[in-house]
Amino acid sequence: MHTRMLNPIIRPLPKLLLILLLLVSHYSVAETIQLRMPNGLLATAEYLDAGDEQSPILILHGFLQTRDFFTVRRIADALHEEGYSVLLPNLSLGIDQRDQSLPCEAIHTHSMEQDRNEVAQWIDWLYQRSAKPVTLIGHSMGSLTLLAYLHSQPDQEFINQAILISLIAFAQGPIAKEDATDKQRAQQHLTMGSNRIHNYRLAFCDSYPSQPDHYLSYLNWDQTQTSRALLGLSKKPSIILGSSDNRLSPEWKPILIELKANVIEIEGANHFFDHSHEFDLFDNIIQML
Amino acid sequence: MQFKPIPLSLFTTFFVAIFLLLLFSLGRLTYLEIEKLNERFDNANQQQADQEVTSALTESLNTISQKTRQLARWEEVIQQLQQPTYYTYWYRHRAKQNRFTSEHTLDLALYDAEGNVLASIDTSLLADTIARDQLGQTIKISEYQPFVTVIEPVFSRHNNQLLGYISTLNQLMPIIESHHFSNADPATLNIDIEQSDNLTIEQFKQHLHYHLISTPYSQAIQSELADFLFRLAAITAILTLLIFPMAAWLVSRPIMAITQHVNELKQYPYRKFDTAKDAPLLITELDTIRQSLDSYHNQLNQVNTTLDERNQQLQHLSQRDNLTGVLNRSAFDDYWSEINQLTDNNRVQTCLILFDINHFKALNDSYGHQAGDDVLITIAQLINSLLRGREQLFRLGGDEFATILIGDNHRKAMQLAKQCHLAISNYPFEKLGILEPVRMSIGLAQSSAGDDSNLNSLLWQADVAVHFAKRPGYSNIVSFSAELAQHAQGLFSNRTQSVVFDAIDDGRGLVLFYQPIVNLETGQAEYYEALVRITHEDQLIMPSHIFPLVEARSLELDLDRQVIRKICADLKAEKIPPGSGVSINLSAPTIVDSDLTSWLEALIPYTGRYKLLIEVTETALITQLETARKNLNKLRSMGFRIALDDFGSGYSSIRYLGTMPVDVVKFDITLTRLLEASESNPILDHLAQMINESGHLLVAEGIETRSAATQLRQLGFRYGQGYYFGKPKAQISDKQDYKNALNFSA
Repeated sequence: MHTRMLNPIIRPLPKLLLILLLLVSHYSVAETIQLRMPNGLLATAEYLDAGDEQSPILILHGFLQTRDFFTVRRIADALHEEGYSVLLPNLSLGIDQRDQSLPCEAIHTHSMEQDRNEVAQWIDWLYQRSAKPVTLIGHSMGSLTLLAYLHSQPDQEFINQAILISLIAFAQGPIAKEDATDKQRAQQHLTMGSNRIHNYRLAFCDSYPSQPDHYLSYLNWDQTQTSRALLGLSKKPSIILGSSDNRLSPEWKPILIELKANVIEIEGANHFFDHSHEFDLFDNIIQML
Repeated sequence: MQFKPIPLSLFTTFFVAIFLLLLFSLGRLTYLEIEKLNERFDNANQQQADQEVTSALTESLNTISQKTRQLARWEEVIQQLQQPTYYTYWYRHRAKQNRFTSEHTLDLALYDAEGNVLASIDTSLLADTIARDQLGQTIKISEYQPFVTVIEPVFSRHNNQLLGYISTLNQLMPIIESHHFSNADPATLNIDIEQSDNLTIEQFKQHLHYHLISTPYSQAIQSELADFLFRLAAITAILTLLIFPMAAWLVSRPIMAITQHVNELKQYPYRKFDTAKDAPLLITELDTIRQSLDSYHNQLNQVNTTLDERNQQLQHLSQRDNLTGVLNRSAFDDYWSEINQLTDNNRVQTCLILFDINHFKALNDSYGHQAGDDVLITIAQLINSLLRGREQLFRLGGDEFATILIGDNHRKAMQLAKQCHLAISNYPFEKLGILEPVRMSIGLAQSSAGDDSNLNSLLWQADVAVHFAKRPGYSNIVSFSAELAQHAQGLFSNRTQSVVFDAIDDGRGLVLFYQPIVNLETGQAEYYEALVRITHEDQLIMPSHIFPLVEARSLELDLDRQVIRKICADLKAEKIPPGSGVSINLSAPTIVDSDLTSWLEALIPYTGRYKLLIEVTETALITQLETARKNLNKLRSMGFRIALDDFGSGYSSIRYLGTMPVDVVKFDITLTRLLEASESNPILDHLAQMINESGHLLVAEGIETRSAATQLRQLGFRYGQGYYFGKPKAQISDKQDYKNALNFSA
């Protein structure tokens, strides 16, 4: 809209200046959005507004991270430059207006359900803001959270498509610290009705202080639960994996393929698609969009 | 003040000591300068250290506050204040184990907006409640350790609502110590009080103390200084060990070499040093000195050699008699001294043989000076030919010769004397034109091994012996004996000799007796003849004893000089009546002496008031006739009159009258006595007439009777002298008129 209005005026200007102005215009519309979540906490998101021509995109960060994690930040910036409005929420993880990554050792009062609800609230906000189906992009645990959201609310018309990058499940892969004993401890704590904080192991965290129910809300999303959720989706999400992602278990990719998921593997990329694989990732996302 | 020379080794040591002293002073000065520099650095370090500590303290407090403020903005803190359900768990597991706290954060507590701690924990070091006025930093000291408590408010980021407070308790000292210090030593930071609360920064600083770091620069300087001093000491020691031998080797050695060379020059004064061939010295200048010394030495040596040769020549000449070539009197004295030295403690028998030619004066008068010289030369050669190699012949003076025999007894000396006498007696002197026989009187004197006789006494003995040898009735060769000594005691006694010599030396005992010369016409004493006497202990030594000694010792000049002085004194004392005069007898050597006129100048002032006559004997005129004539002419021009004494006793009296400037002729007493023989009168008469006619005044000596006086006056004699008119007396009587004695008027 703004671009069309500016065209007659900028006709005599060089093309370079035009590009710069466009860039500035994109950045100039970036804003921080605050939403009060059901648990009473304020959660924040950065909205990179590029107009309503394209389907807006929600990009969700990984486990205990924020929107400033480089993988999601670069994808967001690139898509924004491509003319997509992008919303980058920070899951509150039990902290008001959280904008810092949360250490493993911090007391974790959040759960998968709370994360899923916050995602749902941001999707609603984005859909309402753009009035267009929303494209979901997640990275790592963020992909799992988006899958959990899609699983809870299948066949939503306001969802355009989902691109799950480096989709991971708990209790799988070489880095997973948790095992059956942790789950048994948590279940035992839960059976005892204890609402206290216990120190568990989860994902890459050796120490993960959490309430047992919250802990189990994440731990339950293992490969089985995740596979089941994928299998249950009528609109299969696109899954992008790095061929050198050593955080995933070796059987995860064959499982996904067996589930008829649209799996794209980028040769040589690791879990975070850093270095030159960043561009391969971006090219694939653009193609998917 | 004169400095005593010091040895070269001492001088070198002194030089090295001065050098080391200078080196030490330089090191000391450098050390003091570096000490000053260190002091300045220390002061600067102190200031910088103060600034460092203050800065470290301020930064530490800021760091603590900043950390606390970061904690206040930490999401987990906000989470705890909003949801304090799990505060206790968080306190134990997260409060001090996060990226905002350190090991120096001793405790942390969260308080709600009312200042109440979220949960009271027993182990907490912080208070359970806080007040608003406690916000900020508080420094307190407990057990000498500083702690900082910081309380910061925590606000909601959403609406800036106060959520509560956070308080941290921090160790201060480790944080301060963690700073980088260049000057202050953090390990020495300490607090001087045990406990205190709520200190401000300024108050705290007053209790904070530390020591300075030995700064690297200062340490480096001190280290360098220590190294420098060590090196200096080492260099000094090395220099001491090196310079001294080097100085001794490089400096002393060349000087010692030149010194040694100088010593060689001293040691070998007559050696010729070759400046080119001798080993050169190391130092050019010293070698130049050596060459110069050699050159000077050689030149000096040459000069010495020349001088020695000249001295030998001069000594030879000075000790040789020009006429005969034999040794002279001076050589005789030296020879005697040499003998005495050689036989100092071993007296050996010594014989002295004295030779005297009889009537040599007459020979000279008769045959001339050249003939006399030839006789002397011939006799010297004859005696010399008979002497053995170890014996020397000396000419003591005139016609007197002597030789000394060492270690020979009297018999051998007598034998030699006889050989000499025989050789001279047998020699044909006709070859020299001498028709009369030439005879020699020989006197022998000897000293035994134990005798302590000296040369004078031995010579005196020989003189006595010669004296008797000339006397009739004695052999021509006489040995001195005790009997002869007794005969000659009055004449040659040792006591007499010493008295005579004293009188000649300084006039002691010398007196003049005056005998009048009377005008035979007027009977007036015309003048007085001064006659020499010597008094000693109320005894009077007569001329017969004085003159042989004087002539034997050739002391005529000295005696005459004393006589002239004495006459001057008498004239000055007016012992001689004014208007009269005085006649002075002068010896032959005095007459021909070049200083005669100067001696007599003292008498010139009296020439106006007195008649001054110089009496000269014939014999005085024999030898140096021309010199005598010149001197007499000078004396006449000075106002003196010349009298020829003892006229008629010699050989050539008439010849002298014709050539000499004579005013008065004194007839010898032998001529006066001719009056007694009547046959001699005509001769005397004609002689007196001839002399009168030639313008000379005649004086007759030896008048003892009135008749003699009368006869002489009748013969034309103008003046007379003799016992008849008066004997020589020390005092001239007032009576000067002899008219009665002459009684001419009768």
